[in-house]
Amino acid sequence: MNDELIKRLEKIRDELMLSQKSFRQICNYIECLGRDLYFINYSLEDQCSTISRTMSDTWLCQVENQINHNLKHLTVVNKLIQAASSNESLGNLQRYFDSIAELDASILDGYAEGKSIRPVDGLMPSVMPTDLQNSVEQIELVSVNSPGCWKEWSARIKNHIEILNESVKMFPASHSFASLPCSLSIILTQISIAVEEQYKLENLLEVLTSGQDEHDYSSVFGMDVILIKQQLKPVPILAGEDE
Amino acid sequence: MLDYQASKCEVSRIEKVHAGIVDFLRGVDSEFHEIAARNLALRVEHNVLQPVRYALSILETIEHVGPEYIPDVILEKWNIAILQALEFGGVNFE
Repeated sequence: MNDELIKRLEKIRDELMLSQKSFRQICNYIECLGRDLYFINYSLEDQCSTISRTMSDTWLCQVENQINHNLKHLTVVNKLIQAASSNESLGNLQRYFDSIAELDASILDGYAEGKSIRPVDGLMPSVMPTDLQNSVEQIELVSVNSPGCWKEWSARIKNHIEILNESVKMFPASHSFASLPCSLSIILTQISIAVEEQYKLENLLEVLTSGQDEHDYSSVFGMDVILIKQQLKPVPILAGEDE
Repeated sequence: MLDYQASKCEVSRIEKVHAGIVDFLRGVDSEFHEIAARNLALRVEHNVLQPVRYALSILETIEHVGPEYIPDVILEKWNIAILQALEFGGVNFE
């Protein structure tokens, strides 16, 4: 009888560990996103990037909370496997069984495969797709260095939007933070427009001033150059990178 | 959105007309009309030709960079300058 129980508990443990890995990947990704948003907000000083920072922080807290639930469940499951393996009396551990009953039901429903819409804390609604995992790893690697110009920042933001749009698919609407990646994607689209505008200003300034001295405003576009310089924000860079 | 290609053709035509007028006024060889002609040439050049030539430079830049790569804040200003050149041949002459 215990063999079957141990098998079920091991299945729950495996799913919890898989979920934990995915939650940690999401957590690392949100930290990268938060860092990029901090730089953009510092440079643009606009409301969109400020709101996006609070949203990414909220999401990070929610994912951390899910990891805590996951670890709690994992500890209980491991203890139960230990007790069942050593043929100890399981009657006294009934309340622990109750706590993981929901997990078991969800896993049997296929919740961990994204087939169920019944969210359980500590368990990922679906397995993170390999493409998304690769994209997240890629952006984590490149985020060590900040982009050198607004064009590169624009590409970085578009990359974030793609990742967020893929993340939206992983969480059903009933999940506690399903709306956050969705809202972040919407607000990042607005930030992308602002960053794109900065790139256009940067590019046009280069075109209008090429072949001129730094303070030579004698050309026909002298006033436009002044206007562009007023509108152009400094490119966000990591402290110390400009040295 | 403005038709920049058609606008460029029209602004070029306007520029040629006004440049011709300025050349004609500068060439006036009359003791009685010379000063008045030169003053008028200067006024046409300053109030009409310069804004028209500015609009022409704008149109050339837009053609070179592409309208989709011009920042909104600049494109709005430039569109007004082009429309003024098309409508008044420069500025609203009193």
